Amino acid sequence: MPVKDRMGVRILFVFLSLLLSQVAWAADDATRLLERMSHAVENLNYEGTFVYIHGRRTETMQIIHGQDGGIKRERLLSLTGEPREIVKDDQVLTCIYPGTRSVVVEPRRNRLGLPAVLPDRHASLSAHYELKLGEPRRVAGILCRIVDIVPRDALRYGHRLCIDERSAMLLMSEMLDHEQRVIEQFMFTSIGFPSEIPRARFEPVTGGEGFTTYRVESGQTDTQQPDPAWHIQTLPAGFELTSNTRRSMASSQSPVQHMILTDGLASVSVFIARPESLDDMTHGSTRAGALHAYALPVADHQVTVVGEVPMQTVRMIGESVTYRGAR
Amino acid sequence: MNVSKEEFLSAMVDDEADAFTARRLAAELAGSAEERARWGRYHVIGEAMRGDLFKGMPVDFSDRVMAALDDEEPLQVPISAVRSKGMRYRPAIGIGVAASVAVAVLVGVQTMVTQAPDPVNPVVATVGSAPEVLAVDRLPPQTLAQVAVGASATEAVPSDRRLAEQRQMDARLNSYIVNHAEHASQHGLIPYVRAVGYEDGQ
Repeated sequence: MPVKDRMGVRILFVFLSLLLSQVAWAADDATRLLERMSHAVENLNYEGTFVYIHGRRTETMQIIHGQDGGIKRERLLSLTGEPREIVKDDQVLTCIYPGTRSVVVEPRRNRLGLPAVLPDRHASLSAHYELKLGEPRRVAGILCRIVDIVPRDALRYGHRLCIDERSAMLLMSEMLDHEQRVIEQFMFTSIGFPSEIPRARFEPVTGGEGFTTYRVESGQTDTQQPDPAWHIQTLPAGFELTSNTRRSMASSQSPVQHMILTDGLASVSVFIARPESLDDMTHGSTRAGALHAYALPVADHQVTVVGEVPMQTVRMIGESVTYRGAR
Repeated sequence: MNVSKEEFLSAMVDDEADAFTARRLAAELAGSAEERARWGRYHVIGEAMRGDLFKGMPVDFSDRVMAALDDEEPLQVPISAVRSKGMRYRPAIGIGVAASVAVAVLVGVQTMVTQAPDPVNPVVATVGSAPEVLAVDRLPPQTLAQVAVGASATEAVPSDRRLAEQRQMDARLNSYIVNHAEHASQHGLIPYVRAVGYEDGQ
């Protein structure tokens, strides 16, 4: 090879190496920013208003999130339509729906003992998603950095996030399908980071007499042994079973088996419950933005699959649920 | 609402209202659908004026979503199989009597509302329109009759009993979605928990 050509190859090699290291650096940077965001959204004090756009609807919501006496609290109030409200502390999660005059109370779960992250989360993520650090953008008057999480197949959704690099707060999030079509979007229109939030700000402003309350009674919250005969025969590529439990849930008389699958980013829940009667069985699907649900009867049980993944994925999982045991 | 209140509301949207005014207005917003709609409009207008709204969202977003909804298979009811087992299955979740789902996301929060697509009166949200929660869509009677196994045509209009059953079903799905949010979301890299309400429309 002539000297000139060898020089050209070297230059090309150096250029490609630099390019690849730049790409790797950008992906690492995106990962670090995402990790900071995970911590920030959980631990910062913030109060703001955001719009949530999904399908043909736009909702405006107010959120207050912070700590009071060492207890994390959060209140969300819908400002458009029915004034739905969700209040969380470390003990319970309360959902108030004046439209149906109902209140759903779920105990907060003790997260200890459950894996906080997948052991090979990053490896799994990179196998099925590509991370990209994007351009700066301005949301709610704050400069933030775009992070794109692009799926490598049509079994999961992509994300475009805008994260404040200073506070690491998530200011905007879009969920996109495999063809880059926006499925849902949320974006803060205003946000503040108060050093303290008075306890009274976390009190619900909706609700009242005449509401029906659905709750898990005390003493029923203990986790029971799951029935080992339930299996998911074919998992979508990249998904792993990470949890399999059985416990009481609000609005279900008998304990419900709950299996959780994840690919490191998207998660899907499979709920298996014995119906009060066979007439209670349902077979069908519904959706809300990026969240899909698919219900079907299997072995005299009601199976319901819920997840922020495309319908084909929840359907594939639901139809793979089998019971391998004597009944 | 008088002019002065509108100004206060506008100031609150721009995050310029003082804490006392903001609390008072928040309480009023919670009690008045009209003022909540106005609040939502102010936000949309404000964002549109600042050029922040729908950045990155395709111009024909609504049409694409409508197309995606149209493409989606709404219901799978194996009627023959069901009959052979002697069971009676109801229409799909959220379909017969279309329900709306309130989902809170975003770090534990965000709200989404779903309903069965209305083939007769499609409603498309546009920039500048009031972001009201839409009225509940109902499937045409013949569709209900088709999907409700064993239902006669006269049962096409949902009875009080069926509405109550649907409400119970919605509450159960709501509970599942809340549990999904509480348990499953922590495995993901994105930390926003989905706490969800399944709201039966009026």
